[in-house]
Amino acid sequence: MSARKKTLLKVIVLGDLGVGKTSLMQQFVNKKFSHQYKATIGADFLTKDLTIDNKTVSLQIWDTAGQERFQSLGVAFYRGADCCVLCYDVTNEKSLNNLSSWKDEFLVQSNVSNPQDFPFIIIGNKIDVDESKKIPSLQKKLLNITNNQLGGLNYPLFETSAKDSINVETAFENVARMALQQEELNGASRNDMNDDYHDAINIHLENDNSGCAC
Amino acid sequence: MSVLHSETQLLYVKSKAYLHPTSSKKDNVAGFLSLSRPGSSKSSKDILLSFTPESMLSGAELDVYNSVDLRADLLQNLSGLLLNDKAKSGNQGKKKDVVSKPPVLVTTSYAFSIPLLYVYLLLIRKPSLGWWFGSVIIHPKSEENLPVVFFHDDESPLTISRQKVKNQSFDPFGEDGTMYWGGQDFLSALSALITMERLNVEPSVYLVDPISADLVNFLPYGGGGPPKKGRAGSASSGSAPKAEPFKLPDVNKMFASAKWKVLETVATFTLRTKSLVKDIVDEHVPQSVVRLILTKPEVQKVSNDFESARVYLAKWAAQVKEEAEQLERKFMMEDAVYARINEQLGNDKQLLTPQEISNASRRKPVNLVEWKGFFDDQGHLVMTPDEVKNRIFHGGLAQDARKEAWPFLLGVYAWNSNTAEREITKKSLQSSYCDFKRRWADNDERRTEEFWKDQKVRIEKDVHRNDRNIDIYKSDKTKKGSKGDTSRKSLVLSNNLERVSSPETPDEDDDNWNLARIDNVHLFRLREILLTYNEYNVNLGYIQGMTDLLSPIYAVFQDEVMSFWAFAGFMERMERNFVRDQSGMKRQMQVLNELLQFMFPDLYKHLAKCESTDLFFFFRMLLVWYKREFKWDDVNTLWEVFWTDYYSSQYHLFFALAILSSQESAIKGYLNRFDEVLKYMNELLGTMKLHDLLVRAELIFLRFRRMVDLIDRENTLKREQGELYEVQIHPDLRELLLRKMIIQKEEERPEGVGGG
Ligand SMILES: Nc1nc2c(ncn2[C@@H]2O[C@H](COP(=O)(O)OP(=O)(O)OP(=O)(O)O)[C@@H](O)[C@H]2O)c(=O)[nH]1
Ligand SMILES: [Mg+2]
Repeated sequence: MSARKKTLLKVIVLGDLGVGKTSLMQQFVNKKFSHQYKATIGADFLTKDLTIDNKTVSLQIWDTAGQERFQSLGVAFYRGADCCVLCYDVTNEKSLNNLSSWKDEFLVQSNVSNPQDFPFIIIGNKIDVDESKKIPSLQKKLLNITNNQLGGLNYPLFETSAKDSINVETAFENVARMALQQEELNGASRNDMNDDYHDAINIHLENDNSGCAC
Repeated sequence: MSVLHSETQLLYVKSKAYLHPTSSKKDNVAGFLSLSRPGSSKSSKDILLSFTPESMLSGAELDVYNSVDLRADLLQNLSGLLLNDKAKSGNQGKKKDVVSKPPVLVTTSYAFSIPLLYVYLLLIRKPSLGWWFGSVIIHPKSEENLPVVFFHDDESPLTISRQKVKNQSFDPFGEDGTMYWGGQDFLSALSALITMERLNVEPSVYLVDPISADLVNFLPYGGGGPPKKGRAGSASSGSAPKAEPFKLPDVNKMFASAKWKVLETVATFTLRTKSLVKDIVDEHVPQSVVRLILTKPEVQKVSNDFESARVYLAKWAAQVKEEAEQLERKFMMEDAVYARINEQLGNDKQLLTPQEISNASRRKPVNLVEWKGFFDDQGHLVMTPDEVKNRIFHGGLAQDARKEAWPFLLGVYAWNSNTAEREITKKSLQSSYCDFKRRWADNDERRTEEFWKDQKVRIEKDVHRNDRNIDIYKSDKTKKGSKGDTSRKSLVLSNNLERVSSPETPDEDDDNWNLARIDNVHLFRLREILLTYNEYNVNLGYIQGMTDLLSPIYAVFQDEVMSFWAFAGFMERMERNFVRDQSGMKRQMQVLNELLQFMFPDLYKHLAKCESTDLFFFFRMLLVWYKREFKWDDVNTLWEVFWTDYYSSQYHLFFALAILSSQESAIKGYLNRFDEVLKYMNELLGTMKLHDLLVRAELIFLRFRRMVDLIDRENTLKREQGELYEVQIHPDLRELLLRKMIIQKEEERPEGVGGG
């Protein structure tokens, strides 16, 4: 089945407004940076083909709005995501503190089948800026957040600069790798999900316990 | 007694039961909910539960149904009646209460009939504010869905009389202490005939003649929350007093009480395929509960752990699905109706009369000379505002007239004012602007608030990213031959409040990444205006997208005070786009969806195949009125057209339809998936021809108006001829004919909530 065609991997990029989501994607896909990308409203995606472990994949990266309330509307595109990138701005502490709410938001909207081990990755952007502008004792705060808000889960973390193209490539290659793994899982459970859907509207009165996955 | 095979003996009848096949009252189907024993009956499991529309019954049968309904003593005697009749079978001679057997399932007439043997459970919804009428949902053991039956107690003679009696005896409440309503008798009747098991865990569910396995399935948990099972992530027996994961205050308690709500939420996860479904879910399940689920991952397993949940979910999901399908259905009319309309209005090629088409053509823009001619020498308008609006609607304004005309269109100046009055207005607006501005500029307390600082960062980020390709907003370095006012003197505060730059935008910072540094004087003023609007409309504050709305306005006036008030006037109508819960946007997307179904059913059907009926690709276009999609000058023209409210205050929705329909063949021909449609629509950016779309939008509007007109006239005619059947125009659609601006205000910002 997998040999049939290029695997499409779906990635959602989330984070507070202005942390550089659009810039990161543009840098990764189009190799350019501009200070003038407008604030994102609605959603759009870019695609880029990559070779991961000799396998060609097509990475569909979804750019979203940082304005939280706009998330509450159309989020159909969250469905079927294979990886979620949570971004913060290394000069903005609030954006760091909001990581976990973005994660929750994603889980609420996406209905992934494996919330506990769904692949998230964290990107801290704008490392090109002057040290003095950065969040004081960033590492400590980051650790605190992963431990207390992100459920102690160690999501891979990359520090990047979309402006100077530092680490962007590496980060997204990792995204692709994680997404690929999830996709294999997803591919299987996506069929399940459809079954679930029909189960939900058909009524089975038999007492079967076979579906219990706990 | 000889009840024929084709006949059935009525045991219980509830009149004025209704189906609500659409959300429109006019479509309600009145009928009888009945329990009857068919001639072939052997046990109580053969008893038929039926809904029979009044319109299906002959006069004689109507009488029988009504008489059984009114038999007040019937309930007490029901089980006795059953036994007696069995005993004296054949004795009676005359056929008592016998009618012909209701049809099993007639979709066209809404009748249905099902033996109790095949009924699995009933979901009883008492009358409440959310569900004004009480209702019963019958879930058969098979997979089909039966429509919800509503009890219109206010029309039911027996229920009214019983309510009266109970009121007189100072006991308006039924057996279980709640208000008496029509469904209770129905339940009592059923209980007298067959075993009914009410679920402790979900009192609105009654199992009909349950087998013991069902009962086990529905057993509630022993106490409080779900059984604790080994959970992932808690493996480490570390000694560190680490905060326990997922521990929220009282979450178990809340979970216990919210259990069914939570389960419903789980159900929505499998159903989350249509935004319509989601809307319904949102209505029933508070967002907080959804969030709760995620903080407790084990909750997600509930549907596995708790076997009965599956059944419940299935039922609930079926119900949601049914309701969603109804929502989907109601805006498309039958093919025959479209055929009639096309006959009258011509097909798509020749939408309207040549007269209408020529009226819809665009005229040349109103320039300053023409504009001045609209006024006498006192500055009084000599035409009616409508005439002016008509002119602007069909031609737009030339750049030189905008500065004069926009304050009228945006409600800063009254149409009936004269020059002198406008001067006064201008003065008072100036001082009032300064008052608002002082609230942040001259208020150290305000400036140290977290919320304020956050808003400022948001504003500065967006201002910095705003329309930098437009000449006045280019950075000073790249701007060639920039002249004029390059000082940072933007403040118009009186008494020495004039500052050259604010402390939070230090000039000395030379790092060009710094967003707080705003070199360009015009960008700097945008910032000042937005920070002041943040004080002026405290509840709303600053939300992304507002910069897009302000930017063209500022470019026209290039004056801080006038731009502010014109922007504030614009925001009156745009506030609904920005409210925290996004209900204003949801509403507009919903109405657009309905309009699309109504006007272009085939295109809608194709979008449904692409899972794109949420029309999400219109979100940005509707939020900031196509600001991102069109060239700068075109945006100005388009907004002028919208501001006139010439045909409809919701004209931007017709414009959306113009865009969509202009792409109809491409969409139908080449696009099959959600992401394809979204990408395609996003990439229309910069390629669309405003002129053509404005003409198209007008033709669509005129056609819409003619369609409504035609249908109304047809309905009146039918009514006069005594025919029942009517084609419905949903009120949502009718509202599109109104010119009055729709205003929705943001509510007060809850404590501790940011500007997100
Ligand atoms: N110095 C520096 N600035 C950056 C970097 N990435 C983005 N920026 C700037 O940060 C601002 C916001 O960048 P965007 O990419 O538009 O941010 P976003 O996350 O897409 O923002 P929203 O669409 O509003 O949610 C812009 O002015 C960018 O120029 C970076 O790596 N270094
Ligand atoms: Mg962006």
